[in-house]
Amino acid sequence: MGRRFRFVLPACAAVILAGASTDASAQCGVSTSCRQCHEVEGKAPPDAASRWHADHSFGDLCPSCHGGDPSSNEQSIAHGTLGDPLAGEGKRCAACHAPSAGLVAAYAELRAGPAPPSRRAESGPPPEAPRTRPSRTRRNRVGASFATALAVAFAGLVAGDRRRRGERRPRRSAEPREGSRDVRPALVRETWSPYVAGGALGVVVAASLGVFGHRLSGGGAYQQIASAIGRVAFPSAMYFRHVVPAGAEWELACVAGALLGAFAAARASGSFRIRTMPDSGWVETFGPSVARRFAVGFLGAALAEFAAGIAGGCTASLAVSGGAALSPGAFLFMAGMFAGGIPVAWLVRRSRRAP
Amino acid sequence: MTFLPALGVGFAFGFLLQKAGLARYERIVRVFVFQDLTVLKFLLSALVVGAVGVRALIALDVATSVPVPATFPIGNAAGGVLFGAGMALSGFCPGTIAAGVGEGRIDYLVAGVAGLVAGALGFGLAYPVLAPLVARGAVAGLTLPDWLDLDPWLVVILFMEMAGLLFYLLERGRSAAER
Repeated sequence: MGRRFRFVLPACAAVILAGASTDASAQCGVSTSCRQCHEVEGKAPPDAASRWHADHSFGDLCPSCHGGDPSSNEQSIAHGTLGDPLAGEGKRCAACHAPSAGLVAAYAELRAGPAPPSRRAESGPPPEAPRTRPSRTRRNRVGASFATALAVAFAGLVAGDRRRRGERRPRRSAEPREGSRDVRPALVRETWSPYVAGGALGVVVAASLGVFGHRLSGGGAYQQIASAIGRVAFPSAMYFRHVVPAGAEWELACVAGALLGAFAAARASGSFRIRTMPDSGWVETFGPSVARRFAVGFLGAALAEFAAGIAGGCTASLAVSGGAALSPGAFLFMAGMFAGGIPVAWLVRRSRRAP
Repeated sequence: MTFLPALGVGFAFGFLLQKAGLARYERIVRVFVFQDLTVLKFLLSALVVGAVGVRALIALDVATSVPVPATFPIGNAAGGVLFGAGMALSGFCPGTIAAGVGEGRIDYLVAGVAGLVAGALGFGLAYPVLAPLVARGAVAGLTLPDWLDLDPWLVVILFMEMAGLLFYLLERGRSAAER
């Protein structure tokens, strides 16, 4: 029992971090009658082999899922309000798992415990309070030297290029200059420089994260839609009722906004047009069949959304939003994205030469 | 009241995706064969500006709690690989599907949206099996400055420099090719 209590404190913090209800956090550190009877006295012990119990047995959390009165040792009172843990629309799990966090991320956060204030690199010696500061200063100094060296090398490269170009009028290759001349031509222009559009998205992402406290969302809304279907079609599946319960307003409104924004952008440049096939690049590889376009598109979209579930987000919510917040997971996701995309794109391209 | 901010953020997102031409099949696919790096330039520009912006908002005490997605290496990487494969196959990613529908594309509306919903349904059904596998080694709220044990601003500056250098070399190569 003493060993298990080591996990109670971090678990409390994790529960609070995940947006726990007061009910759940109030249980932390309190020895419940549930554990007295079912664990200490071993009466009808919970199935320790089941994944579910193993993962949720880090604290006195039984009542959060099962209900009942944990303060009473009288079985009739303690069991008086017991209920089915999986009953109730998104109720009992949602008490601990923030609904919008959803997905694997909620599960991952629960398993991980609270975020450490600072972690050293894996290979370093175990953290010691007095030694952390000087070591961090030294690391910062090394990092700053590297940054300075990189800046000098960059400046040298630019200067060298300038000199080599000699008397020729320097041709500006970057578009930002052109884009900032006037608002109207920019609005009606069909395509913006990726640097300008990407930079502007960066401002939006920073505002979204910093001011509103929400990630940019691309695939979250479809999880909501799928969950609404899943609750009806697969009533016993835990995920639809409890991990992604109804009511993630942010994700739905974000996708609705994206739809309107793209429509406005396309109308402004006169490029809105109803069409069923990609403008270029598709027919050369896959042929003119519309059915094939729809079948391959369906497969690709399904694969991407399934993968977004595994990764804990998509390009918008993990790569861009997580990357702007400097999450290592975002960079791992992007590396994976190219590792998966390159061979597939290469195979698709190669099949182009086939008859 | 999150509806209006979310709508506004989404509007800007869709607008910029459309203006960058990312709702086109060829644009998305050609980044993976290194023939059109628009996606990479767009993504990295957003990341650099976003990272600076987030740090600035924290420094100005505007941002109190910035949501940092949990890092769980197996899930992040494996999910990324499958995501990239799906993207390279169809030219879709969840955000660009909304942008594609906005510019009038029926394949995005029908195949794309149906595929996304089907994929999310599939994931939901597989969740009890998948979640314990991919959530292994998870760390909540981890950031690169924590992990590298460096000052956050230093990490941002290094990231800016590397992205800037990459952009410069790309544009230099492009203008050399044009000449």
